[in-house]
Amino acid sequence: MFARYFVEVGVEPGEVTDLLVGGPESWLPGLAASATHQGDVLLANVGFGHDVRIERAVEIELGVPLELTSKTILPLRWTPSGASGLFPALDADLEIARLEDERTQLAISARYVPPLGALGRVLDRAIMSRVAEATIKDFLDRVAQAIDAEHGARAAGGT
Amino acid sequence: MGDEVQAGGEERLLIEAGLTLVSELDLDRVLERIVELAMKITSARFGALGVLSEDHLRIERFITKGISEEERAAIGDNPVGHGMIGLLIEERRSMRIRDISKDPRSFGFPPNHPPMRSFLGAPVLALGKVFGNIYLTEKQEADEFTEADQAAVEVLATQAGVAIENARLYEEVREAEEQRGRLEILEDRERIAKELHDGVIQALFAVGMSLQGTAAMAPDPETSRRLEGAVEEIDRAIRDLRNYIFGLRPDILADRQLDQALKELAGEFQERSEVVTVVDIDAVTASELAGWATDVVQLAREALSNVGRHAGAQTCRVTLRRTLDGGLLEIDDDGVGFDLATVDGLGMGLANLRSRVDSIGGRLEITSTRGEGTTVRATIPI
Repeated sequence: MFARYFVEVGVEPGEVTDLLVGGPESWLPGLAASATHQGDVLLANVGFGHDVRIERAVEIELGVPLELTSKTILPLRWTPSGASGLFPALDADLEIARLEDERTQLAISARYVPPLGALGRVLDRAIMSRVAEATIKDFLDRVAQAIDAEHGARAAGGT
Repeated sequence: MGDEVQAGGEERLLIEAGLTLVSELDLDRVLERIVELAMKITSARFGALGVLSEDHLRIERFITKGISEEERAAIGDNPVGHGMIGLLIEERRSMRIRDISKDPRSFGFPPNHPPMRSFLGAPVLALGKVFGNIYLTEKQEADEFTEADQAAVEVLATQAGVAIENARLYEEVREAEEQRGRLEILEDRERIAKELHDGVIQALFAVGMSLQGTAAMAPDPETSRRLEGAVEEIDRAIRDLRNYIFGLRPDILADRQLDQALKELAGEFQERSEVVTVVDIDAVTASELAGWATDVVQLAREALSNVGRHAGAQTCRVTLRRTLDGGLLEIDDDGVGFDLATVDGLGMGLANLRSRVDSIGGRLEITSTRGEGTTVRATIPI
């Protein structure tokens, strides 16, 4: 199944790429384990829903970015830690694309596997797609917030 | 008159030597040929060439001719540059000695070293630097090497320097060409990967999203089911493309779907065959084999099909794990087993397994005992 979502951040694409590629600890929301190398399995928290916020730990693996003419793509995969419940396993591409006025579009194109086997496939039509979409939306929103915050901190610190 | 004939012979040998050396491009072979030619020109029984280290303080390599491997092993380590050998390194000029065993500058020979008396040594210069030294001993049918021998070896050493430099340059050019070839392949792969990702995958993703949305609004379940089937096919195509793209690139996260595919395959097999199937997949190995995912899944499918059709098994196990030789896919069952010797050829199923494993440079091992079951092991290099 497919899900796609995008946001804009008021940070120049080069800085966004540096942040995303250079220091996962600075942007992965709710990062629970620091990482020093690309490809490490990171533990992060993702959630969905604004009214009833459910969070759980996922393992996130990051790939080496693929630089295209129009954008940079950071492949990632997340897998629910422990029993998966309703949270899907995702293979996703996080895209960093230049907009006007030194703004950046962050987009996520995700493909997910229903977590409950045959039952998951039945549930998927009604619930899973909303869970998956809400989860990646929440994830990307929080990534954008973290990037804005980090950018602000850098600007304030003169770095 | 005799000296003139000998001198003429040496000249001819030197010309031949020069031609031989410049036609040889492999450095190791050039060094061996230099020693052989020097021995031939001077009628020496033993010959050696010591290649100096970058700092010119020690001998890095020592090529010998005239003694056997066994004799050389019995002598022990290569000389480090004492005695006459060291003197030649220091003085950087050719030397001729009637009996080195009596020369006060001699350091003596190690145990098991053949006795040597007459000695002729000359430096080999390449691009104005001392590359090493030629050592010749035991002039045959004479007590010592002659001035003509010395002159001939000096000429040969000069030719050798050119040949060595020639071989080195050739090696550098060859390495540079190989490096350029590798870079071109990498650049080409990178370009293909980018085009596939930016074009084909994006288009497939858009179609998949659209069909997914249409399926949700479909007026009847059958249409919805068919559209969802199409979405799954598109998903599979994207997954294969991603595996291809990221499999081409080093150190990048490939689409980690092999473990999932094997689990699904085993689940379907269990459901269909009623053979209890246990799956034990090492996720890291599965990701390392992402580039061979299609083959690994097909291997598992073929092996499970054999279990379902022939084994009469109660239980079956599918394992994927890392070994020193690569990724190991193992399917074993507790079925009736069979005698490999009585199977016609390998049987169609086993032949298919063998053919697929061979095509990816892997190794197939099948063990079976009547009444105890069968184990199929496919090792795929990573």
